[in-house]
Amino acid sequence: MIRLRINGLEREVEIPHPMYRLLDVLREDIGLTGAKEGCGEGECGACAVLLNGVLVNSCLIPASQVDEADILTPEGLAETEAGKLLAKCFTECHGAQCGFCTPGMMMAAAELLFTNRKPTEVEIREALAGNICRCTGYDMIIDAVQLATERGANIW
Amino acid sequence: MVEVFKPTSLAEALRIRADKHAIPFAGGTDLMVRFRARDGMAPSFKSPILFVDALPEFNTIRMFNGGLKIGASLPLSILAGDRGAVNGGTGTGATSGVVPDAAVLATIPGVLKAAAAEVGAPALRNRATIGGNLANASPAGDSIAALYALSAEIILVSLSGERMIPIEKFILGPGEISLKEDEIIHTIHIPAPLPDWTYWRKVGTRRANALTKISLAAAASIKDGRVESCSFAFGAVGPRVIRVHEIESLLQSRFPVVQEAKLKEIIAEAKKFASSMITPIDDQRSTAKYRKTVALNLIGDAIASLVEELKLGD
Ligand SMILES: Cc1cc2nc3c(=O)[nH]c(=O)nc-3n(C[C@H](O)[C@H](O)[C@H](O)COP(=O)(O)OP(=O)(O)OC[C@H]3O[C@@H](n4cnc5c(N)ncnc54)[C@H](O)[C@@H]3O)c2cc1C
Ligand code: FES
Ligand code: FES
Repeated sequence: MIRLRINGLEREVEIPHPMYRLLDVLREDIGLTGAKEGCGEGECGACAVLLNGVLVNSCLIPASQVDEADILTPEGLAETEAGKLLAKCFTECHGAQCGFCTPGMMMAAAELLFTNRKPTEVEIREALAGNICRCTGYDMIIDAVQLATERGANIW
Repeated sequence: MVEVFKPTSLAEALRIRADKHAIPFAGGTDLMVRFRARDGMAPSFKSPILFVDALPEFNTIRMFNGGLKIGASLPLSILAGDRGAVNGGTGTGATSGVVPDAAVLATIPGVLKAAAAEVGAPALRNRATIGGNLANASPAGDSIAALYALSAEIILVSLSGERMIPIEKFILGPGEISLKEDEIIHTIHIPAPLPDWTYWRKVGTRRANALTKISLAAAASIKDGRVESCSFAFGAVGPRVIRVHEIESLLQSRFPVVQEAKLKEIIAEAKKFASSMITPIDDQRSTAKYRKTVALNLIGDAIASLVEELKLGD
């Protein structure tokens, strides 16, 4: 049995195996499918969540290792002012096409803006470097984050 | 079902390591991939697991006699300067709530900082640790080349005590290290003096999450406009990192050099030494010829940068 605080709610989860992944806890046990499994090997960022406020790939984390941690998933982010703004900017800039990478992109963008309110384009590209998108060609995602930077001056 | 242990003290960790021969597990960025199971099964670990990320002393970085002592579980994001202070509760390094001292972070040699900053991408660096990178002993391990250039010493602990071993002796070959079944990497020691000049260049296929095709890590101590000591270490060109000691003695004996003609001569000589030392291989990432050409170009670039530094010091 492990305990996690997920999107502000205390959850207890019976894990079937000590090396059961955080990604599986979120998707299979809690039913939060915002974090996705793209590669399962740390390369694509589709499974990104914030662990104690820090961006991580949940496919590489055994849930038992992070017992008692605080997790923010894409669903939790979506409920916040910051998440709503990011969603709006991604829509306006056509930053999402098939949408598979979008939750991870938004988690990475949110972590960046929470720690750096006025990132340069280079800093944005660096912050999103671990998130792979096979649809947009990235520029529209960068535009979306730049727009969110401007519009969210009082949020970040 | 595999047993997992989450010790909160070093004594407890060492006892478990000795009794169970459990595998140390830090950020898991290598282990979770290595033991990845298919078809939605749990990762297929065979030996007991010992989480070493939560041990407080493994997450520290501090000055020591003019050098630096870096805890084995310090995440690369902290060495890279991705983040200074973080808040939080449990988990590895950056996610563990350890707040390193800004003054100490400012002393991290540029070569190590830059090497750490080019590992993977931000989310990976938040978990990937320096001890894990070292123990994984990949010839393409980026922090390893930097640690060779810094003549790092590795401090290993077990129930029977502590031993310190230079990095060249610690890394035995690809994936092979000098670590006994009851030992854990405790600290990475970068001895004084910390260098005045460093150089780092990694060549890969793309910016993020790219395996290194070749890297050059270098460092020098400068005194009165002369190179007092220096080191040049190539990563990913062979089964182990290669330090080209001939270049080091060449530079120590010949500097200061300011005239361009002299510089060209020295670079040519350095390239000759590198050329005989480095015998890269063809693999799916690159050809031997490409690697060698790049290695020699990097040497020229690094020496030119060192000369600039000497001029500035005049
Ligand atoms: C997508 C991706 C990209 C990557 N890119 C790069 C890159 O660009 N450059 C690079 O160098 N690496 C890269 N890596 C490899 C990896 O992230 C690093 O090697 C990382 O630093 C390993 O640290 P860890 O804490 O995650 O190790 P773990 O997976 O926890 O452990 C790795 C090994 O170290 C041992 N170990 C860990 N801690 C200790 C200890 N205290 N004592 C003894 N043994 C210990 C473990 O038993 C294991 O054998 C990449 C990996 C992925 C998945
Ligand atoms: S699924 Fe985790 S990084 Fe790709
Ligand atoms: S929108 Fe399809 S992968 Fe990014």
